[in-house]
Amino acid sequence: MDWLNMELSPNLAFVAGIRTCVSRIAYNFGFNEREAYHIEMVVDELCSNAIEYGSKKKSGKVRLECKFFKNRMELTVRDYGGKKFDVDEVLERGDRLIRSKPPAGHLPEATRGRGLSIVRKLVDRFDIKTGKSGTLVMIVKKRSPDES
Amino acid sequence: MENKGIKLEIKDAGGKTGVKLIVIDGELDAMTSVQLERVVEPIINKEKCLIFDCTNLKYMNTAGLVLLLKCYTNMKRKNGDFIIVNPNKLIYEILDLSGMFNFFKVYNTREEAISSIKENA
Repeated sequence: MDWLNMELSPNLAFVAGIRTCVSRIAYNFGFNEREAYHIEMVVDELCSNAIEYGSKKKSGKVRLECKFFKNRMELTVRDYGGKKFDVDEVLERGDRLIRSKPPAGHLPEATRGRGLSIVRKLVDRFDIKTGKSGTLVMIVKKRSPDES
Repeated sequence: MENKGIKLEIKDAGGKTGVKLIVIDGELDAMTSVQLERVVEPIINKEKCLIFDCTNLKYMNTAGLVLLLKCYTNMKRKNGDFIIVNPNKLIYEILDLSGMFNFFKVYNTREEAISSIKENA
């Protein structure tokens, strides 16, 4: 198993570089282009959430851990602050926004809130724990078997 | 209009009045969607139809999705139209699984998008 750990101060300016880096590494470990793109989106969403909602204090930090196995990648993103939130409520709202099809004459909600629900659709396993000490999201993304 | 993440080109669409085409080159995320929103706001206030050509859009996250939805709702609110052109297959998949095709029209080419406006006029 190979691994990569990163720790960063809560600044969105990090995110583009980190998502690209992890996605490229996943590609080098044999994930195909589509899977690597999904990983890029997952890293983006989870790190952005941890920075925006989990790191209110300037002294906060976000920790990203990636483990690369033969057939999968495990990724955790952890923050150490922010406000506790109701995970089921957030996911239900995200799912509702994704499913919403307003009747004629009505417009959709142009609001945020779909991110975690989209992440859940892109991965093979999704776990999230939140509490006073912060939020931990763990995902597993499986790799397609080699075509050769 | 350029930074390291995104480059925008604003064009008149086939000489049609009230229709603007924005060609997006780069990545649409939390940082660059703010830049695009600033460019788009005055266009939405003024024009009847807005077309995003996504041929050279390489990446989009949910901040980008929300911006697209804002463009769509703001154009619809004034009985205008909002159209996406030629997103790559990876972005297309994300648009699909996030339910965006319940709202947006997507065409393969600029020409198809522009002629659809004529047909609907």
